[in-house]
Amino acid sequence: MSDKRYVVGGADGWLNVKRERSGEIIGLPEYLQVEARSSENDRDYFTVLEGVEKNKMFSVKAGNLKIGSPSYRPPARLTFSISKKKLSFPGGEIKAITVSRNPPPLGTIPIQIPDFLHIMGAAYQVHSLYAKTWFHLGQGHAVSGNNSTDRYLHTGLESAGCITVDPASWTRLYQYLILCRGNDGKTVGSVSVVR
Amino acid sequence: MAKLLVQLVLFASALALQSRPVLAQDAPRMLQDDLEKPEVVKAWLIENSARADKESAREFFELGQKLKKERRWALASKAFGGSAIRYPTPQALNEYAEASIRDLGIRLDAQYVMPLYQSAIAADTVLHLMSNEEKRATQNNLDCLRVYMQIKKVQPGCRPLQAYGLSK
Repeated sequence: MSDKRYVVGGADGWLNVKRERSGEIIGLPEYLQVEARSSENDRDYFTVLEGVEKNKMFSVKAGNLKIGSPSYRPPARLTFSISKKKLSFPGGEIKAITVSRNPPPLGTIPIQIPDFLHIMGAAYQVHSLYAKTWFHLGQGHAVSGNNSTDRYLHTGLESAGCITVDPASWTRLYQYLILCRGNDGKTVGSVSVVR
Repeated sequence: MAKLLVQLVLFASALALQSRPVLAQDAPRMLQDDLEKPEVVKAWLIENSARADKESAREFFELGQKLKKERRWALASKAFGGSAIRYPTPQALNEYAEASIRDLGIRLDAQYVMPLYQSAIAADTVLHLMSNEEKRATQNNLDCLRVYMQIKKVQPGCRPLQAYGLSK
């Protein structure tokens, strides 16, 4: 057996899976493309095909990997105006901020497929069930939020150099972005940062 | 195991934040950039102190302390900033300043840090929450940072410059 499947997320958009060998439990974002390799004892064994866990092997209780593509959208092309404090996407224009002492660089920045659950977002789950999903901005992997060069597109009211989206608008943006895909197996699109 | 425990504590803190009453959403909040404006902080406190969401502010502050222990400065800065926008106490502003320096290092211009210490002092004129020692320390932070900015002289024991990695 070898076929493409797609992660079915829970209410917060994440699915807990077990990393092979180490047994570590991690979250994978919904709609993530994987390749099912085998099934045994009511568990599906699979390899991730995109995102930061690409080529890594996991297992999960059977029934959590959907057959059939989730109708991905073309890559997202967002625009963030630092001075206007607005983020534009096909769903409209929403409030977003950064912090003046460390704004993201002007220009086009890739938006990655969500990497891992961000606990800081839990404070905003009362506004959006998807508040723990942050989209890493830039190339390469984040360092678990431990580095000021790590920037994210996320919801909240405070920024340390990220693009921080008004919690009231997060669900709308999330539901758009999570289905967008670049052609590189890493990103959902890009954001153009302007003054 | 220790890492797992820290993650569990962080998760518990986050869960506590998540379970804040819906009414807290209606509480007044400052804009993050306004934390660097001492006169705005003071005016905000005079007007909003009684209605501020102190409980959420305290939980963000505690989360910041945990992240600080782990030296996760970007997140600590967010957490202390999150505390300060809800209730800008001198302690939250001081911690926000230091976490921001440690997060960004020399890429953070001191011109953005000094106003945070000034805001901490301004906040205390309303709240009276700092001990004499805290007041002295905050004023020292401000003074030695000012000296550094004016004549590039690094004074020993200057906490912000220590955070910058410029002083022992």
